[in-house]
Amino acid sequence: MFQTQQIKQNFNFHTKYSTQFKDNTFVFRFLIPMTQHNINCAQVYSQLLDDRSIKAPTKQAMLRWMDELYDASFGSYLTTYGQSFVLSVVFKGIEGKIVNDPEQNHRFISWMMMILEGVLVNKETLKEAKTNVLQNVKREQEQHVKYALALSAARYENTSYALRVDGDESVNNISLQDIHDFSQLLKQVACDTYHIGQFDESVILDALKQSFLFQDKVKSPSYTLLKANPLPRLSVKKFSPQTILVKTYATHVDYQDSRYLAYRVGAIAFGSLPTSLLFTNIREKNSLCYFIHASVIAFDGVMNVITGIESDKVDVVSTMIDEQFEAMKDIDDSLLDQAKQMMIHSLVSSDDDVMSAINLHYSSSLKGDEFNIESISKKINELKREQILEAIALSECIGEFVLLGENDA
Amino acid sequence: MLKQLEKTHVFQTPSGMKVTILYKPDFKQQSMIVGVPFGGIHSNVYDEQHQLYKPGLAHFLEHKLFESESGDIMAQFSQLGAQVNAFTSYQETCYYFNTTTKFKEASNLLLDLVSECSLSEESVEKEKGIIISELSMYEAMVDQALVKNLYKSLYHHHPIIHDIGGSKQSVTEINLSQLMDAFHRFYHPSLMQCVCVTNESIESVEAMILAHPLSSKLKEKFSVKEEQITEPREVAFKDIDVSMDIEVAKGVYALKLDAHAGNPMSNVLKQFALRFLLEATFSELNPHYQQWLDEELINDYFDMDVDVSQNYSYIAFLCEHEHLDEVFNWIETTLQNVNLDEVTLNQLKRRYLGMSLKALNKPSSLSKQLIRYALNDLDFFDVLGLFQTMSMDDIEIAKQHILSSLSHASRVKITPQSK
Repeated sequence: MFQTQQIKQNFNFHTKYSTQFKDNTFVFRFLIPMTQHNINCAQVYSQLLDDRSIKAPTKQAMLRWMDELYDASFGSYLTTYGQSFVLSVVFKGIEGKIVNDPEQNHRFISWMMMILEGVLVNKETLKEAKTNVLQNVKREQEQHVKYALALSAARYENTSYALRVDGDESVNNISLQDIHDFSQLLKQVACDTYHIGQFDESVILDALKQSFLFQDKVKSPSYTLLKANPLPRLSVKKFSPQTILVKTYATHVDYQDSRYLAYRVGAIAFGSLPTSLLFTNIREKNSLCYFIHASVIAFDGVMNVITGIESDKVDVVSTMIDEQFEAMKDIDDSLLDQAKQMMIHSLVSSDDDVMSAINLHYSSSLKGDEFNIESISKKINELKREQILEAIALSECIGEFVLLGENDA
Repeated sequence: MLKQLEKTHVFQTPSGMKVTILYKPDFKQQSMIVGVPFGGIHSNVYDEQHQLYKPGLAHFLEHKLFESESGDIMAQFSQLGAQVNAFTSYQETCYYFNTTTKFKEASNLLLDLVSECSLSEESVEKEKGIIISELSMYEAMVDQALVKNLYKSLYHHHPIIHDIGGSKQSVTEINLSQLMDAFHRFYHPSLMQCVCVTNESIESVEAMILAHPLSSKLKEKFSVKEEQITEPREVAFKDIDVSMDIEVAKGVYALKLDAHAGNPMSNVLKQFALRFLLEATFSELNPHYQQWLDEELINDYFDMDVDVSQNYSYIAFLCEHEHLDEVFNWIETTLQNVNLDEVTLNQLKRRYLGMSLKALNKPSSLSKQLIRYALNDLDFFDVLGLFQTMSMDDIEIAKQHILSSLSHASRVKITPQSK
């Protein structure tokens, strides 16, 4: 269980003392309003944080510092949360007691705060950061499933779901002033700091109180529901041996809805288990694909069914997905029970995985709930068949996107 | 030091299966993994009719083993709240699950799964469509294409030139009799390794495994007859050029190293020494690295790979550039000056100690590492401690290994298809 302390308005510190892991993990989560400009700035900022800082101005110096701390590591990434997105900065360092080094933890904290506060921003570092983001954007087009999902989402214009979380070509226009403004924004937006490990809590609190983060902050809205009129099928050609089909559903059940857990169980039975309706009937019985799954983007109120198929099977597979959705009405109770058990397993397993534990706690805190594995598991176990079927039946197919493999026919 | 941090128990069942139990009392997840030394490279094995196995046979068998006469085995695992899966690599096939409840029931189910194989012609035929779809998925991935062409460029005859999953043709040709032949030959308890990561007492887990028929049932053992591979020292192709629907050209520059049939531990040491040497020369440890980035010779895609195995060895560099030959020429020149000083060696030892400690944090991935080493007769914890013993002499040997292989280089280019 995390212990939470509010340091300032919308600036929280969550800590979980644990001897389970050989290292200490710190995660700083900044909740930022979702605009393409903010995403692009965050992607560039994330690159700037990456391997240099004012006190370690070369990659070599930074690496030496990290190796001195027994492979201390840090990285940052973006995750969407409906109308906002989160820039997470993650630091990991071996616990001093494990390597019998009493100075290790203090050195690690100093290093971590040095990185957070000393981002090296100049013309050269900005150029390199922008180049890296643009290259990642280009590479996204080479990963067909990811690319198909991005193109499919982009059709729902003027919604947060449509925005490209990896950034887009306009990254090129970002200036030093934009980065300066973005670093000011980071001071103002809601920040949740997490720690899991054996660190002395007071040392961390002192460091946070002396940092640039120590001020009241504003929390932006997160969960939403995608509302869109159904769109006709769109096909885009790609020279590839495989065709990717994406069917998008508006869930009409938002993250705060009392039916949310029932919806998730239904979605797992529909398409997230190796015994799900989609997997059993489209892959196992008809050999039409290798992968097919339904994934829920909870904070946007979206469920996507994604599969890789042959180009001449688009119609037949699309119809079969619809049929399986209809078949949910008559789903076997044992499959619903499997879905419940897998969801509970995933919740309980989060205790063994630092990032899963933090993700689940953070998602709950965004809707003001206390995260408790036992009580959520109990709620899942108590769900009735009717509740699950009623929740999943609210889904509405609002579009179909095909990344059509041109050379596979 | 690392070994003292964890409690393990190793034993062998009367049927010959080797078992490692790692006790992790603080973790909720428990897992079991069972591995057999049968993977993608075993297409040089003869079946009963003295026909060579088809490429992709191990992977095909992995798919089919989930079929059981006693009902849907996937559903049985899900009902227990256990996530089950499998993978086939070049060297081995492994089956595993992880769970937070009913560990012993799920363990028995996994041991059942690898004990029996009952297939029909019809089900074998049905699986071909699924596997061919899987091959198409990999075919569309540029990174997979790089690896596939890397092996093709370096090796003339070695079975590593075949994809783990085989080709569309070889998959089509695989039949029930070859699948059953492979099962009887390789899925013998005496060839199997089993690793459990558990929060239950070691004694109770050992008793549970020993009570399973796989531990006691003595099965007939068939010999494994392999075609001898005579691999020339020279690379198969100095240049390979292919095109794909990608945005920026990508390539691999590789050196085919002299493959010594050393013992597994000395191969691991050699692999570490080569990796250290390349890290010191081609990563941020080198003060010139920033200049290479600024000159756009490399970007953040640039990466290195080292593999020292029993009968094949190579080092490879992955890069992304519009003019790949410029990068390849630079790699070739820089390789002539590979170097590592003692200060950097100690820095890397410290880094790898941290990395090894972190590897102990995730029981589910830890069990996969444990079994891979166990299948090669290596102790995971001994391997983790090995790099601490590395000396400048080991680095010098690795350096000479590279320098003597400079004339055995290949260049693979994957360029954007004209649209």
